[in-house]
Amino acid sequence: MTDPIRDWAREYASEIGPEPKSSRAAAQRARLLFAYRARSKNTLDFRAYLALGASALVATSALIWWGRAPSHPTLSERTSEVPLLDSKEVTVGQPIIAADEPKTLSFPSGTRALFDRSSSGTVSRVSDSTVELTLDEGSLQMDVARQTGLTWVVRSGKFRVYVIGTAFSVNREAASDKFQVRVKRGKVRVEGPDLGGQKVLLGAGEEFGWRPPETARFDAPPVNESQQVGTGTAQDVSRDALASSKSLTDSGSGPGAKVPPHAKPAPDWQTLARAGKYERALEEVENWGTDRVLDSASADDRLLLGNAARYVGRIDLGSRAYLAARESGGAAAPLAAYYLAKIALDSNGDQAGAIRWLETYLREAPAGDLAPSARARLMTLLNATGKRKDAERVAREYLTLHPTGPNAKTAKTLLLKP
Amino acid sequence: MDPRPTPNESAGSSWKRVEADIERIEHENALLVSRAIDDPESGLVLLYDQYSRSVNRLVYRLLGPDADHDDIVQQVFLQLIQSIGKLKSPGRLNLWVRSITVNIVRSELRKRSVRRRFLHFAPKSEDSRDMSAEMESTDFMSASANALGKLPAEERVVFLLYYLEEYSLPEIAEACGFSTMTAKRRLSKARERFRRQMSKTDALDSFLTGGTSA
Repeated sequence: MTDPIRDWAREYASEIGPEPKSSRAAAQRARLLFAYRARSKNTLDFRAYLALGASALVATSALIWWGRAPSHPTLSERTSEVPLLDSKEVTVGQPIIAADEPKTLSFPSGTRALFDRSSSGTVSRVSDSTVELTLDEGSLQMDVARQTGLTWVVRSGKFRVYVIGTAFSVNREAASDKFQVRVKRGKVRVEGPDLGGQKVLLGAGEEFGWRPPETARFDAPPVNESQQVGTGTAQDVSRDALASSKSLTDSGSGPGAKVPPHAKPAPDWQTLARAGKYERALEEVENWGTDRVLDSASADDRLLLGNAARYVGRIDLGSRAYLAARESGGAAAPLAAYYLAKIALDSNGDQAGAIRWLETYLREAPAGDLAPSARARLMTLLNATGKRKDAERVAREYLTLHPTGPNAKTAKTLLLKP
Repeated sequence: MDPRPTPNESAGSSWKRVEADIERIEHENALLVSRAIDDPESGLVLLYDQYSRSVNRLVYRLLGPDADHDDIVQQVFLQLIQSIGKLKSPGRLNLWVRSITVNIVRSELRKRSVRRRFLHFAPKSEDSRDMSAEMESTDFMSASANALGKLPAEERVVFLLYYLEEYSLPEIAEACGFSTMTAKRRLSKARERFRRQMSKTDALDSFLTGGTSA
């Protein structure tokens, strides 16, 4: 027996036909695209409004937080007022005179600078990465709280004392130009023109003194040639101080400049690294303390350290140094991004990470020296990871910006390939 | 030795061809999905070009000539492109397209049912007359449309998929997203309801009284 509904269905199907009789495909397709674009536009607008709202909220919150957080002020050269913990401020360049009693500056980071009685100086420079105090006369005792990315420098006459988390004092007699550093805790580095471009490192308990040759000649007892260290000319002090710790010990008995028994040349890892002695440069860095070196190094030095570490396969150290270089900002930041991309790809096989860093480099230095290479690498990586459209975009960019570049052929091939 | 394939070998090789065809289609579908995810606008055009005919057909067969036909087809493709990233098996794209089409039609029918129930009217746009004019207005067709209109949305879709599109119950269940038992139950109810409607209408009653019975 047949199903009457099936009979009906056959009749209905033949009447109605398999599909609409008029062909509306072209109109349907046009309407569809129009509707899609309209919807995408609305979605984009909505997202833009959302992003704007979120940005405004974040900015407002940051302003409110900033206003309520006196313990986290920005040390910026744009503001000449440096906030202190006791709700006071000191103006950059304003004379600090401790005439009858000591004067203490307590900085928000926890660092304290005590100008002894009969001392004077200034907070001479403040930036996001450096605070520099100048001691004009008398004694300045520093107790520096370590803070990543912030270097403390005490300038005294011709000398500069660089500090990385330490307590020390600097003395200066302006009239005689005598200068002395005593380190209680931690380490400092002393630099000055009379040290012949060399640097003197001082550890806990060590001290370094210098006075002009005239004074030295006046005060110093007759000593043999090796004992003239620190009491002769300034050049003698530096040369001998850097050459022989024994001489330095001997020189400590002189009434004039006193060079500490353990003072030694700074581990100049930079020179070693530049000379291609990467392993030795890294040894010096580790002897000195990687954290400390990274904290106190300039952006270029951080980059140099990153390269040295990368060349000998010390990927972790290299990455740290490059990331530190990026924190420093400036021209080193994009270069560090480029090298981080190399590390990500060559050492870790991390294509996505390499793409991210190359894009960062190109965003920050679109016309940089390494831009052609960065674009070529990015193009290849995007293509290899299946992001064909992005790869084509970068290839077009490459051909526009570097039409005769070494990878122009690769870019053309990529664009022509179906 | 006879080089001609034996019947078994022949069946085996034709089965292999079918398998190869399936594999090729699945591969093409996967490429299409990947393209649509990377570039939705061109993906939308490709999807439309590949599936417009089957979507149009299915919408037409489920709704009949309808003023909102183009809008519903548009909804299907917009839904497809919006949720294509969620497709777990790109090789099964054609089944997914079918499922979305069926569900959008179901949803449309439910909305119309609610409108009829609470607002006591079903809005008709101007061009509905043009659409209806596409087919010859016969007693049979108007009676059929009327009888189908009396079926609840869920039952109507199951009923038409079964009788008109000749889907099996498991296929209906998969397309609608419910169990085979639910499909069977709804089909049974729809069948009963439609029979009642047929018996009330002269133009359709002849199918019942013409000496045929279920």
